[in-house]
Amino acid sequence: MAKKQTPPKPRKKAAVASRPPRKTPAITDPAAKLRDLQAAYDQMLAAPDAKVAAELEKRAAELETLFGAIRDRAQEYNRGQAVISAGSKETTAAFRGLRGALARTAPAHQPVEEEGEEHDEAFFGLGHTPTIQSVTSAAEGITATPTPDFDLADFFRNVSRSVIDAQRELDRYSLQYARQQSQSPIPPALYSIPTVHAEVKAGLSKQDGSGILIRLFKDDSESNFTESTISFDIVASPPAPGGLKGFTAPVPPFLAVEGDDRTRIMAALDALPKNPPFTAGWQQRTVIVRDLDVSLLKLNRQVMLAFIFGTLPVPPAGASTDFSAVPLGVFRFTGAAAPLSIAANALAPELVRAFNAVAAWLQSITVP
Amino acid sequence: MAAPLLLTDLHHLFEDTATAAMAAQRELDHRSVEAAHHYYSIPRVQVAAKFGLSVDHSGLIALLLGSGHKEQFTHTLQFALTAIPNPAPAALPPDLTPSVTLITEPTWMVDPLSRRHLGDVLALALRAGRCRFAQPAAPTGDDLAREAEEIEATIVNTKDDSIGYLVVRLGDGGIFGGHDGVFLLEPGADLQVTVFDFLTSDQDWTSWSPFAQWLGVWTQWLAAGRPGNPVNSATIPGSFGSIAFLDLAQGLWQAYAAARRTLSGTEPSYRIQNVGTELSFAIPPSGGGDDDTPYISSRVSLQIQQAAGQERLAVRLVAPEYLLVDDARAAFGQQLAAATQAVLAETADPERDAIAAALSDRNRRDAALVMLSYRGGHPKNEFLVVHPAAWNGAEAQFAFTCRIGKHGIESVKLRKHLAENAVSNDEYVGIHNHLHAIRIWEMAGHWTVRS
Repeated sequence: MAKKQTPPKPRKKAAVASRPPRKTPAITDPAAKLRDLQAAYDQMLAAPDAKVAAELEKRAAELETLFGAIRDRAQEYNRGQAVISAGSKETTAAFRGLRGALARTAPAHQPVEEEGEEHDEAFFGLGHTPTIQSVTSAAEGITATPTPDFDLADFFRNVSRSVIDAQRELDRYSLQYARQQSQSPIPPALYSIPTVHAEVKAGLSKQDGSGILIRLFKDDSESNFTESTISFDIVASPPAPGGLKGFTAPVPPFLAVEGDDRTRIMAALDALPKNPPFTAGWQQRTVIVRDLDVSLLKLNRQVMLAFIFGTLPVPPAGASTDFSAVPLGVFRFTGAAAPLSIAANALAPELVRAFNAVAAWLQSITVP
Repeated sequence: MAAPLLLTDLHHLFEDTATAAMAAQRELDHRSVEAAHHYYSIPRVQVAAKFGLSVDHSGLIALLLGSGHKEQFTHTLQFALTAIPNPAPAALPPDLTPSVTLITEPTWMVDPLSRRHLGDVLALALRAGRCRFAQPAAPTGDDLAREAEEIEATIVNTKDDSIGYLVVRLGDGGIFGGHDGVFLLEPGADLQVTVFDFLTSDQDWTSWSPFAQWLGVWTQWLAAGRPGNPVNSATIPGSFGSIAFLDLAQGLWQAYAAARRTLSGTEPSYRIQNVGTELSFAIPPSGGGDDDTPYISSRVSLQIQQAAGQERLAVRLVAPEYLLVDDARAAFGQQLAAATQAVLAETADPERDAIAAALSDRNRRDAALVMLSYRGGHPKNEFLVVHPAAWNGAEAQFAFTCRIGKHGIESVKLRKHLAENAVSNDEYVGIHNHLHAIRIWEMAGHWTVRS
């Protein structure tokens, strides 16, 4: 008996037609996009309710994070510490994250361009760059080269960045939480990430240029006999090995404790006559302060102060140290000029200069 | 274009990993100070790679670390990078070859030279009648003289400082009526030899006691982390099977030395440590259609050890092929877990319940010894399993042989009952074939085979 031929089912043309074809998304002007979003949010805020307000607050916080990442990169660029090029991994990641966030933050009625699902995890996950897929950059519509491999250094660097960024976020939310708890009898807690374990299972091979490549497995079938594991921990710690040279605690930037600046100034001081306070051991009693006032930075002028005090006298039993008897020398170094000795009656502006640097530093380490 | 890593490029793997760690640490330092005011460090990086080996057209060894390769034997490579704050200046290792090499093998193993010597001692003791007899039917002077003549073919399987040496002369294993010679040799004792069995014995059983002592040594050795003793030779073997071992050892050393040089004086400072590889091989290559057997392989490790400011290359026989360890043992264990009924089908009351309980007891299952036990000139997937179990309130052992075919464990035969402290001639075949497997391994060159 011949098998009855079944005519093929008609395709759902209507459904297909109603869905726009998947296309490469392109945000030619992110600012314009944001203005659209702002209008949509304004519309929502015109008739708010508790649920909408809570959702908006959450989304606003997310956007703050993402803009913070972009701002950081831009600042690095301005300081000459990084080069941002269209399609670079950092830029791509930031804009991918922004695009993903725009999608999430857009109100339900706001049309959003279709995008790959990997973007969210790519930005927020620990291994954001190691998520190697064919990535289409939202910035200027540039397409990154699709590759199954990635560089070993990228993996380490991106995990490290993510930890710092996450801790920074945690600090921010910890502070918010602490503020909320200010009226509570329960003392607020601050949270920190004590350790992050990163591990990638991959294949390893050699690049033409002799570097080592990591090849991620697409599925279990490829990992049969040659799977390798690279793992490391990032732990909260005292300053990292080498990070603070010979110091065991972070040194504020207004103090010159090592490097060329200190070497130059100490050499200049060493050439001075050895009158008090330049008695034995003066090097240990010398404090060098950088003037980090913004006006000087703009003028690209360097001013440093050296404070040298004499040996402290041993106070009699039951008495405190008499500092008035301690000789003090103060020298100002402007650029590469010779040191200028500051007379006792002209000390006030130099003290203000020094304490202004301390105050600016204190401000810089205050959580906003 | 990605390509396999050549042995001569191995230092790139070390150096690239270190460079990545250092760059990440610098990133952490920078971002910690600039942005977060939290300090993070990367104290340690570990890499564990599995690889296959291949030789390219120019004779260079290629490490197949990438995906998509399926090797007959899989080897492992590991190393670690440890942050060393303010490292003291350290002497760099020699570039080409290590100045110190340490070669070790399992503590119970007797090297070929000592084996010949012990064979002479045993023959002399037998001829002189300096022996006691564990069997009711004691051998005559002629029997002992015959044993002494045959002793050249002896096997010294194991030693234990508190027991002595178990020496087995492989005869026909009772198959044609002859018995193996089974002796316990205690060179320092007044009566140096205890005879448990001999060629012309007419008994139809053999005592299990000497084998229980021997297997106990292995059990303790495994439990103690498989310690090793230095061997007399300090020469690195040229090859293991088809593995150019000497080249590999030198390549690993040179890569390590190059990485040490590169990392010397860098900031932040990382030291490469725990560099080592474990190689699997079979001598001779497995036959009988079991070319890709996961069960039969000897394991040799290469470690670069750092002690007292000096590095040395340590070569160690981790385990010979006739005793299954690590992934080979685990692979067998998986098969056994699915074959409990096949084993129980071979057991009879009143032991069946005790054996069933033992097979379902994970601790006892893990403590079971799995050994090769085959006939013929090439290793086969045929095994002797000696399994602990509780019997009448005391610890005892049962043993069975089996093979692993396409459908798992099959051809199970019980070779030692829980209730007995002896094995029949028929049951003894399991032990005999295992001793035969040891003999094949030793005849193929022991583990220090040279190219």
